[in-house]
Amino acid sequence: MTREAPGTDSSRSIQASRETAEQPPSKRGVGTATKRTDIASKVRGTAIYGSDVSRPSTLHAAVLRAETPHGTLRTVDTTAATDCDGVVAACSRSELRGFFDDRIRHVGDVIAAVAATDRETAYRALEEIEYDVIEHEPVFDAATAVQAGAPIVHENQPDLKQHRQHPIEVTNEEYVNNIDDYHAYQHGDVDEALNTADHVIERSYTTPRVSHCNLDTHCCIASWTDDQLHVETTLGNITQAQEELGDFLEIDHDSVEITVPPTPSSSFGGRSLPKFTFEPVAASLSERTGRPVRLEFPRDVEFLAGETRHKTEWELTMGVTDDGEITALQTSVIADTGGYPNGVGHIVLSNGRDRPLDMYRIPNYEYEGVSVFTNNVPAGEYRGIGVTQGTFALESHIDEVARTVGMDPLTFRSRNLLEEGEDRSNGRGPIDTSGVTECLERGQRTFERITDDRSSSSNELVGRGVALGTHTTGSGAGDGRDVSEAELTMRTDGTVTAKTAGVELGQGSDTVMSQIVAHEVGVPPEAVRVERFPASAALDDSLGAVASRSTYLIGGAVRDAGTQLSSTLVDRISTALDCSPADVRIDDGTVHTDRSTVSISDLLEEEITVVGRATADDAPASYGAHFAEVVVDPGTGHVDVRTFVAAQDVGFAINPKMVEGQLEGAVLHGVEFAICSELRADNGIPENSSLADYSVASPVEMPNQLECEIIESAERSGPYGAKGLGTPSLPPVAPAIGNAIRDAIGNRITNPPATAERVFFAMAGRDFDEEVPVDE
Amino acid sequence: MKAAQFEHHEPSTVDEAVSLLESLDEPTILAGGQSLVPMLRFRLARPETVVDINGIDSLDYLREENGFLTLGALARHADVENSATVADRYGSFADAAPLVADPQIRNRGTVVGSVAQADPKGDWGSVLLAHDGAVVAHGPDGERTIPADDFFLLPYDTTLAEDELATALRVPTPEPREGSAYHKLKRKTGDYAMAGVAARLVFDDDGRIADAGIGMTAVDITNARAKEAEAHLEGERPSPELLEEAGELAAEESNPESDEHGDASYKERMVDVLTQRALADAAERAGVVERRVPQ
Ligand SMILES: Cc1cc2nc3c(=O)[nH]c(=O)nc-3n(C[C@H](O)[C@H](O)[C@H](O)COP(=O)(O)OP(=O)(O)OC[C@H]3O[C@@H](n4cnc5c(N)ncnc54)[C@H](O)[C@@H]3O)c2cc1C
Repeated sequence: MTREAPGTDSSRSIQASRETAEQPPSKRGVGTATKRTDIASKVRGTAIYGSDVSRPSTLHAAVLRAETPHGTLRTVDTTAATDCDGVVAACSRSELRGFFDDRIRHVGDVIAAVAATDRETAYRALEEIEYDVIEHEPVFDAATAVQAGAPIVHENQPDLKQHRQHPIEVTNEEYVNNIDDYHAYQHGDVDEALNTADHVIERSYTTPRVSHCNLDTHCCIASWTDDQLHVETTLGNITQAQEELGDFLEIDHDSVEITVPPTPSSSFGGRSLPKFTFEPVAASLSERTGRPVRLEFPRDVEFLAGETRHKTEWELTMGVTDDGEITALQTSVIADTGGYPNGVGHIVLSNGRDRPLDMYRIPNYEYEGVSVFTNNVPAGEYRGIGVTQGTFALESHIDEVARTVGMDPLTFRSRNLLEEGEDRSNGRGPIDTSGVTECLERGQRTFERITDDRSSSSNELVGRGVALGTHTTGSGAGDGRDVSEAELTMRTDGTVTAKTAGVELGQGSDTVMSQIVAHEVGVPPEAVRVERFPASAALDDSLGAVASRSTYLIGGAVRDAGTQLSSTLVDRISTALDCSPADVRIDDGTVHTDRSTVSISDLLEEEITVVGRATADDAPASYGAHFAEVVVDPGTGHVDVRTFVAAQDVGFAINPKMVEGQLEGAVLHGVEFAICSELRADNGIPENSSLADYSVASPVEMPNQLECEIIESAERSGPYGAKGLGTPSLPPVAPAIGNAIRDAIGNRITNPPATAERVFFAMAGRDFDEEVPVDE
Repeated sequence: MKAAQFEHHEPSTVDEAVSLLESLDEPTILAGGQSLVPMLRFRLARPETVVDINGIDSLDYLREENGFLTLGALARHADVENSATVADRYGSFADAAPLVADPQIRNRGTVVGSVAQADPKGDWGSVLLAHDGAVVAHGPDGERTIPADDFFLLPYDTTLAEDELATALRVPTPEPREGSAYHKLKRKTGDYAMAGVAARLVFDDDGRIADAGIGMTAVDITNARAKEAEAHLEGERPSPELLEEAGELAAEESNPESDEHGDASYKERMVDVLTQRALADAAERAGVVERRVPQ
């Protein structure tokens, strides 16, 4: 495989002048590709991840998990397991602390749990547990589960202490059972607009259940000191996790302390919040035994209980005029929540509703979404919650609509894009900064340049596609309710400790924070140590490392603290040197005045501590325009993504190298979503819950040629103009590839992944789901 | 999980290995361990005794001799991948080697062990069948040669006796106008085949096909030959139509099942496509057909 070094010639453009232009930035401050703070330990293999951690006198847990998808536990007998040598405690489901009832709701649900002196003993003891389940009729199809008469998995909107629960009023008479969440919205008059449209295009799309496949498997250690629960586990959203765990276990929020392992694991949303069959189980066993208990998921359980991306079914109807103006969009989505609620159904549905309006002018709009309990494995957060699925549907549909109208898909999009400063069609405030036009222009230019000289052989079908995508930065809570604080302490040796709400999940947030401090204060980034502040600290933060808010909001707090630290430091130095603050310049840890050059440590006699704060009134949208070229093997249907250009508006690239890393990672995830992965189940039993059978993308599936175009639109509300990147960069990837496949084979795969088999049958004009007769 | 306890024996000669196999109770041979060790760890196999043949240096070879290409029982997938002899003259072997598993597994796993494993999804069985090859076995009664056609019985079952050690596999050295190829379709890099086809064609001076061998992977209960397709080719000159007909026949002869890798109907179509491609490559490598037959 020939592969150009990715992003070697990625270029940057700066639309607005940086607000920091007058200040001479530190050589290794913001805007430069400084080395990651964690790179050496990760490359050398010395980093200690969650599943590497072991603490003295810790017991090891094993969980007996259901093999049937739906039933009521009648008896669970743990006596024989308790009697095994090395077993310290065995708990049946009903003995676990928290909201565990006697109902089994998915394969992998908890029946009982054991704590023993070692892992193998714990697993062996599981074989000694006797239990009896009365099986109930299960339901696996969300569209069926929501109807009257379907088997009940949960009462509608059960209270399992999931956050983001909100009152709902279901206006659809067909939605009766198993409702996790529901959203309906409209503006304008869709029926009228569809009636008068020149073209009405209607189509369904489905997206699969997929798993994060984080390399490091889930592992937590729970322990109690008196009434205080301590859990060591990788969680991105620590504040909320503490509250949710406390509520679920029925203890005070303040009685839960969560710390992360020395090197947190990767997340991609898979580690934002606690999981029903994970932390609460370890906490119960620890309470029972009075000792720390370590619970690690084996790989297959990652698929069963690690929470997947919601499987979704979309129906889109769009009305357009002959000259390509969108007049109406009607969308309905059904999302499969699986066996348990966690508040994420709400995010899937609200993102599905709002994101199209951040991108396009849609005068008449009607949306209905429902998330539904089934006896499938539970769904949860996954990079681009709901946006990844919704953008696949919308951008695929727009491609179809443009073809129907006879317009180039790119021109069609440009015609309907919201412009900077223009109000969204739902009346929500205007789009503040949008680099989307530049993303389209620059992305296309690069794409044409690198695909131009391609000759294709008759043995391959080549296709090209484009898709746009957008997502907001931060939680979008609005009204300044999303808050973050950071504390900086400069020691007399000139080093700085930054305590923030960030969690370094591999996304590079520690590095970014050290760059911001370096930039503001004038010390080298290596002199900055970034730590997560403890729960006991008197510092505030709403959501931790989720929703692409780390750089935007936590970074904003660090910057605020940095400016305070800088002015305090300059004051002290000017006093010490008896000169005017204006004459003091600090660069790379060295103080320069007209008269002298000294190091900070020579001047500072007392340490300085400051606290910075940032609040988000806004949730600026980030935009991307992605371009894909695929080569399809006409004999087998195999798809090779040959070329990819990701042009992404990031506001401002504090560390361009890491921005590229995020973009390349998004492309990998998107390729995986588009052509590789699907967790398949037969009667609720996952068929491919191992890495031998579940396809993830490897470097071979990555585009041979990948270019990242970084667009900088200088977001007013973000530090240095930065806005979110992690989430917004993923959604356009899969539809760009899907549109390229459509271009290559003349038929659309509406149900990713576009495996060779699906593409083969689509080429033959058959639907994959159609029963295919075997040729005699 | 970890493997259960077992006794580990390390013979250093074939004779020593054979007498261990004869004297021990239900011994299991360990070669590269790439199939056996996973089975031990999942406790799908719980042998009492393991005879580890990695110390038998005399089995570590790959060479052409006496009219055969012979691979000793310790020739690893990677040895085939890196062999100049193979690269020059055995297209199907050269095609198959880099398509087996991933580099780590290829560095340890052996070709003979793979054939002894008799996984219908294994690649080497098809190559062996297409070449009319044979397995050489040593047992208490000495040496015997088992033709490939008589070797595979059922999934994971062969005609090797419990106390026999497969010491080598061999295929005839190529005729003057011979070419071979292997095509494999998989879901992802490093994966087992969804379907695979090995083809070998020998041409007479007249440019007609004198001998054809086609072995199929993952589409029957064992690696299987496409005999009707072979017969259809023999005596004919290669043409796109002929290859299409052979592909169609091979597809009909295959017996795939639907599974995680794909639907049976798809696999059958793929046997057709892969057969045509392997035959086209084989013909081209034999120097008979100038250009690849287009799809
Ligand atoms: C993740 C993964 C992916 C794989 N992908 C592929 C693939 O794509 N294609 C493919 O063909 N294979 C694949 N394999 C299997 C691989 O090729 C193994 O190397 C091969 O099947 C076994 O060879 P071995 O030397 O490792 O044998 P072992 O694992 O040591 O033995 C396998 C079996 O054969 C017996 N045996 C071994 N040697 C002898 C002998 N000389 N005489 C008699 N009996 C013997 C053993 O007793 C055992 O029962 C894969 C394996 C893994 C783990």
